[in-house]
Amino acid sequence: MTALSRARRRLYWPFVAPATLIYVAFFVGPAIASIWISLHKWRGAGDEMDFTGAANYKRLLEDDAFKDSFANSLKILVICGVFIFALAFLMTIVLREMKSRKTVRALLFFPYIVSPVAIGVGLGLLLDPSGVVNGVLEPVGLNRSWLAPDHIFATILIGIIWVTTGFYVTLLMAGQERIPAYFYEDATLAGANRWRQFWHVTLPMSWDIVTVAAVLWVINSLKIFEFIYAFTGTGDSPPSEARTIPIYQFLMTTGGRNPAYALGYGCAMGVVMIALVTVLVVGLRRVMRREAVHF
Amino acid sequence: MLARLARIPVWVWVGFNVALLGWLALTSLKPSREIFDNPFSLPTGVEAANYDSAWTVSELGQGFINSLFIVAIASVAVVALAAPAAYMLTRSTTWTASPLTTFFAVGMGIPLQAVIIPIFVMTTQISSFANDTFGWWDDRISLTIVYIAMSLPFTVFLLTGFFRTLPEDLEEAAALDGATGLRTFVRIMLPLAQPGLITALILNIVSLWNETLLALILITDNEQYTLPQALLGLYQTMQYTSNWGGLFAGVVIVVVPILAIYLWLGRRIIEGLTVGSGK
Amino acid sequence: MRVRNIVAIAAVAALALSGCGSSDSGSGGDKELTYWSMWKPGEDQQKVLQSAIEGFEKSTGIKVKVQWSGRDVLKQVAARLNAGDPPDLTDQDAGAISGNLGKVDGVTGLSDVYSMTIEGESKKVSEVIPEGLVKAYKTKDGQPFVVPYEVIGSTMWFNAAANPELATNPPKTWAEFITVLDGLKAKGRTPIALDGDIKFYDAYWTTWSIIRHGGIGLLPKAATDKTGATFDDPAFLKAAKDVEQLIKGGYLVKDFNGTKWPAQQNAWAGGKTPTDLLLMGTWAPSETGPQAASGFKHRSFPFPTVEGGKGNKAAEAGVIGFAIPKKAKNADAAKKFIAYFLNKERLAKIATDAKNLTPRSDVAAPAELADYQKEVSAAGSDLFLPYDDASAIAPEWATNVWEPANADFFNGKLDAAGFVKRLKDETIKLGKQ
Repeated sequence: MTALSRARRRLYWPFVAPATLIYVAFFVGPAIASIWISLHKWRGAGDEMDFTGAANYKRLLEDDAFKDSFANSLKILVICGVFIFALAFLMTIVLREMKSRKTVRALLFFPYIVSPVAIGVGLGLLLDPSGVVNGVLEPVGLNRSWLAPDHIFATILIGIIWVTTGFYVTLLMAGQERIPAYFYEDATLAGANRWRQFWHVTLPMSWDIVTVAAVLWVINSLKIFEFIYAFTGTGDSPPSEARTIPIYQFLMTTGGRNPAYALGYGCAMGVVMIALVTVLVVGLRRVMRREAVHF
Repeated sequence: MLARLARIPVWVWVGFNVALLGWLALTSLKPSREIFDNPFSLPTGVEAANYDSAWTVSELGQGFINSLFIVAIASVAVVALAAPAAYMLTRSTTWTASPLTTFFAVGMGIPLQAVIIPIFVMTTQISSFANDTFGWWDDRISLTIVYIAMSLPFTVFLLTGFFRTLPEDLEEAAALDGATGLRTFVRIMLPLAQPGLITALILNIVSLWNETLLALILITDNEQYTLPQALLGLYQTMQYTSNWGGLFAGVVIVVVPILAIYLWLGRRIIEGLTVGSGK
Repeated sequence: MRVRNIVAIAAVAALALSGCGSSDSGSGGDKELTYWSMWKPGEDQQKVLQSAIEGFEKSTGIKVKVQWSGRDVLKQVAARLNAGDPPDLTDQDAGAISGNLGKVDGVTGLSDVYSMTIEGESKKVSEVIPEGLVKAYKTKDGQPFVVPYEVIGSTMWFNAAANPELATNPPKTWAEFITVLDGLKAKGRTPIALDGDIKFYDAYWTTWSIIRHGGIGLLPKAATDKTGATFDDPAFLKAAKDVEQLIKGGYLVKDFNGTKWPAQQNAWAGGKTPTDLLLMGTWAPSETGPQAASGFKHRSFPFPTVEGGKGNKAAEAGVIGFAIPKKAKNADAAKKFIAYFLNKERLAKIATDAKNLTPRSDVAAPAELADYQKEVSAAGSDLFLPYDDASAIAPEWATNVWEPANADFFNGKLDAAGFVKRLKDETIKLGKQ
């Protein structure tokens, strides 16, 4: 054994333990506690915990409001996901040969880092029936009541796509930039147009990043909360058309005009979210698994 | 030709983003009544009172300072905790290293909502215990600790990626020279990993600066509000008092610092994301 | 790094050790007092309370640490209550206090406040606060836990300057009401203003109609009836039919559900939409005052009566009042402040400055609320609480059944029969969970 590996062995726990302890105590521990609490009926500290077994999960299956929220979460995941990735792929094709692509990329990216609360507040005012957006769209006949119950969820979907696309453009472009230029030169010589180049060069050669981006989207899309909360107003709870799992969980625990403090029930929703993320991520990785292309 | 046409929507999109920023800035300078009556017009004068009211009346000033401290302490602490851990996890051959690395990565998939209720219960208990024993507690401490814990998975993941790219020969040379493991880490590895550490720091700053859900649940005292929370509070106040100008000034106050960081270090953020997800 | 480590260990240890916090009640001679309020800086009530606090500090030497939390104040108080460090004094709608704090036994009984002499007067608190206002808000041992300083309720608002005929001859019955609406509609107006994104405001209409047809107490009874049978009471369908008439009759302002509160009520006050009527709480004059067109005169008339209705005399009257959370460290100082604020001269500012009704009958109502005061006194003891108290009794029902059904009803997705059926079906479903 060398001096180096001896030193490493001695320092292993002092280096690793602090991070592990905090992580376990304040993140993993609570996640496990969530499972335990979800088996109870409980209003929070001061209230007797009442063991009810799987009752909260049974209730989830029967609760239409939860089913609607669950469906909305999946809609965000799928519909926004399709649009975001389609747009991001198109952008990478278009941007690849643009001189100002770094500037464009930076400007597309910036909504992603602005506080969702600020964006929600600003958009709410922009989309007033007599607001700026309708003022611009009226001449082309696209004006509508963006915040009305019939449209609000579609508006939220558009908002999420707008905020998030820049992030995935950035990721996919980074994957593209790592591909050596001569692949594209060869493809051009062989007479491949941009679309074929994308299909036969870009996509296969940045597949690992595409996979990572897809996994990130699955995880992030299910957590979206602030944007919807600030967007649908703090005057009242978000309407049922705009509720997602995180929003519904908030309403059933400490949020809304009449907080229900159903903490056990809220935890059951959290556990469902972990299960959902796990299933989707594992499934996605399996579907997207492919021999890595080496270059 | 087609490619040139395809650029038009891209520029429209970019133009929209820029126009939105400009509109926000202009609106924040208008008197409240003008905002509704002429949403497009240039402000007739500079209504600096909007900024004054946003800063003082609505605790946005206090929120700014709170966020500054909480985010600064939490993001430095995360990197300080994650760097040695990530270093050891990539270098050590101990059997626990690989499962531990996976263990941290799994945390990235746990949504905050799944842990938020136990965290709420736990922090109220910490606070209750501290109040009974010392007669004092500050929820900002709880929030900071939870921020550190929830940022660890991504930071450890990002930094293991970084350390893996660093060559091992320098460490071996240092060990032959008789330098201790700690000294090697501090004097040699940390400076080498500096770009990675800075990227991790920035990414944590950006995400924690905007974090709202946890703050909403853990912080109950107005004076301890973080900036996004104070903005939501301002939003409420505005709805009762119709101070729209003040609200937009508040939005600008929240957006500008992060925009400045972005303009200054934007490339770093983008590179960091790439490294973090490419490895 | 070591410091972090210690923090982590301390925190974990704290978790292991902490049980339920011990409760110690306030001791005399408090030198300070923490008050978390439902008002936000800049609101009229906030200004009134602020000046009272300054006077209180000067005359007693007790320092008041006040936090203007806003409407969600009770969530903050509830969290702090669990942490064992609640404020000493808070205020909100009494129904909300009951739902957030009363249910978990988190409030202090205030019998001793009611027997205190009001600062600067010879009367006791119990002599100026009508008992009927707080009878619904008692602790387990029968003590009232709220001391009200404002009486609130919903009523039909209009601008007497623009519609003088409504002031001289308000519609009394539903038929007369519809005639008035038709008259206004014929003039090209959409007479009813409504911020439809607040489901609570949609539900004002249905709640009132159910009260008029079926009497007080029917809605909470239906909300808690797991068989759903209460919804078969014909009053529900009749009420729904009346409201449906409004929704389908084109009386509601355009885009009522596409704006964000307070856009519609401000537009009503500012004359920016062709609207005349606003069914709204008694806070309407103070909330819409700053946006009102010049010359605007807030007046009101009671919700129209219906033929054969069981609640034609009823009026809505809830209260906003003070409460003292359990475990408050300076409860005595908080009690002193309550007795101080109820002084006639100070409380009168709620009427004069904040344009709201006070619980003291010897304080004149502000001009805007004179109509409402008459409405309440005509109702005698037939008073009901917001949502007829159903939201406090069954919060999950209000969030998941009542409010979404009302939203869908107003957005034209349900007809009257469909609305009642939906309420019934969903109530049964919720009962099973």
